[in-house]
Amino acid sequence: MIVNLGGSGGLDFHVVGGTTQPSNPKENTIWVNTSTDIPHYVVHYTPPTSETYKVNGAIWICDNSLTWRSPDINIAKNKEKLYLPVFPTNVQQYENGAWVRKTAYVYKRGAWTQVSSEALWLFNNGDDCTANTGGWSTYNYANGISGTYNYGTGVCTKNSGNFVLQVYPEQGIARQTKNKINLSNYSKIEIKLVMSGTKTYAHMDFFASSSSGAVATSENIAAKHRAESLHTSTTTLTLDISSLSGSYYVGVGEFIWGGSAGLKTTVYSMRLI
Amino acid sequence: MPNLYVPGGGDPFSFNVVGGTAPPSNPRENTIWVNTDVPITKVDWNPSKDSSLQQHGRVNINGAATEWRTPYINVLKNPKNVIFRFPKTVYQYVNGVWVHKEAKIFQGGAWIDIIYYLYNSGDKCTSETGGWTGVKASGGAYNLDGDYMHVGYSGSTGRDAALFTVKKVSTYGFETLKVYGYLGSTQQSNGYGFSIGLSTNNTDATPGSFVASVERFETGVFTMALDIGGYQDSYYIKLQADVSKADVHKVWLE
Repeated sequence: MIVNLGGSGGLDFHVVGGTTQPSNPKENTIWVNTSTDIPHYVVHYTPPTSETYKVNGAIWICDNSLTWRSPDINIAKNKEKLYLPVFPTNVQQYENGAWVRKTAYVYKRGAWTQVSSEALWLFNNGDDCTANTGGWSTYNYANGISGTYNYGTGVCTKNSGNFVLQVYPEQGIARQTKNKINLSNYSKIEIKLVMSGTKTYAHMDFFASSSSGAVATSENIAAKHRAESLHTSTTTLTLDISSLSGSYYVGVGEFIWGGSAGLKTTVYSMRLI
Repeated sequence: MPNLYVPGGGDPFSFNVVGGTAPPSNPRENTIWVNTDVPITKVDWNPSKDSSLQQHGRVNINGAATEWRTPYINVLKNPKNVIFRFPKTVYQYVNGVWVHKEAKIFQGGAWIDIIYYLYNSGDKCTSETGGWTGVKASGGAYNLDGDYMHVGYSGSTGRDAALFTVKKVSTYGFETLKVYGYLGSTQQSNGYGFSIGLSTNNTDATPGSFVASVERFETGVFTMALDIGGYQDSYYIKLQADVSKADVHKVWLE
C-alpha cells in the first residue's frame, strides 16, 4: 500500500516578504516584515550552519516541533492523507553575514497571528529602554524572601553606559524591569556583562520573574541563568525562555551568603531575541 | 512583487510512506517502510499522539528534533527550500491502541533503521545525549569506553554506581525506554538489582532519585523496558547498578 502524500494536493505553505502585510493572503501564509528579497527558506529548530543556506536574504523559520503548539501549519494540501505541521516560533533573515530576527505573522483561518518579533532591547549601554520596560527598580535578592539567606540589600548604581550590582557577604540585590514584558515571541534573554570579585559563596543570576518586589530564587522566578563562573572579561550569556509564554518581569540579581569578599557585576546590555 | 516567494504546486514532497510486511523492492530515495499488515489510512508527523489522531490504521512519525541527527530528510522535493524532519520512531493506531512499528528509511541505496538510539554499541549518540557520564559511590565502578558501557561494583563490598546522559533527553512522543545488555551479577535475595529510568539529576549514584524506573534481578542477556508514556518532558537517562554488574550495549526510546 502506498499513501499518496502529494499528487494534485501540493503544498499549502507560503512565505512572503514585504514591508506591508499582504492583502487577501492564502491560508498558511507566513509574512515576514522585511525589505530584503527572499531567495529561499529553511525550516528547522536551529539555524542552518551549511553555507549553502546562508545566502543574503535567506529566511530561517525556527520550527519548535518538540511538542505540539499553536499555531500549527499543516503544509500538506492533501490534508486527508497527510498532517505535516510546522510550528514557527521565530523567524530570522540572513543579513550581512548574520541571522537577524524579524517580525513575522502567520495567516490561519482568516486571522493573522504574530509568531516573531525583532529583538527587544531592555537595557542598552545606559539606556533603560523605558518604552519597553517601564524603567527599572531595585529590590532585595535572596534564596527565600522570608527564609534562608534573606540578607541585607546591596547597592545598584546606574551609570551612563551600564549599571552595576555590588554585594558583600550577607547581602543581595536585584535590578528588575518595572513592567511585565510579553516573552511569548522570544526564545532567549541575552545579557552582556563583566564580573569581578568572588564567586565563592556567591550567585549571579539573570531571570524572568512572576512578581515585582523582592526576588527569591526559590519562590518567584520562572526561569534563570546562573553564572557558573566569574566572567572577568566582557561576556554575552543567554537564557532559554522558549518554554515560557505570557508576561514576566526581567531582571538581574546577585547575593553572597558567606566568606569575606564581595561580588560586582557590570551590565552593559540586555535584550530579548 | 520582488519580495514575494511562493513555493510551486504539484507533488511537493520528497518522501513517501509504504506499509507492508516486507520492504518494497526498488524503493525511491526517502521511502519510509512501515512493517505492518494494517492498511495505512493517514500519515501524521506529529510530536504527540493525542486522541484526535486515534483512527484505525493511522501512522504517526515522531520527526521533531532540536538537534541535528541522522537520518534526516528535506521533506520538500524542491531543494531550494528546506523543511527538515528527523524520523525517530513510528507508531500505528491499531484496534484501539498505539502500536510501535518497525520502520526503515531508504537513503543512499540502503535501508536505515528508524530507531532513536541514545547509545549504540560504543556510539554515545552525543548530539542527542551530550555523551554519557558515570557516578560511583564507594566500591562502585564504571567504564564508558569500548563497544559497550559497564556499571557495577568493583570489589566484593561495593555498592552503587550509575550511568547518566550528560544532558536531558526529551521524552515527548515516546512511550518506552529500552535497554539491551548483559547482567552479570545481582543480589536478588537482598533486593539489589539493576535499574533503568528517568532522573532529574545526573549526579546521584544511589537508586533513590529516579522519577520512574524498573529493576531487574535475573542475570544474563536482557532487554529491559520502562513505560514512559506518563513522563512527557526532558530527563536524564539513568542506568543504576545496586550491588550488581551490568554491561549496556544499546539504549533507545520507542
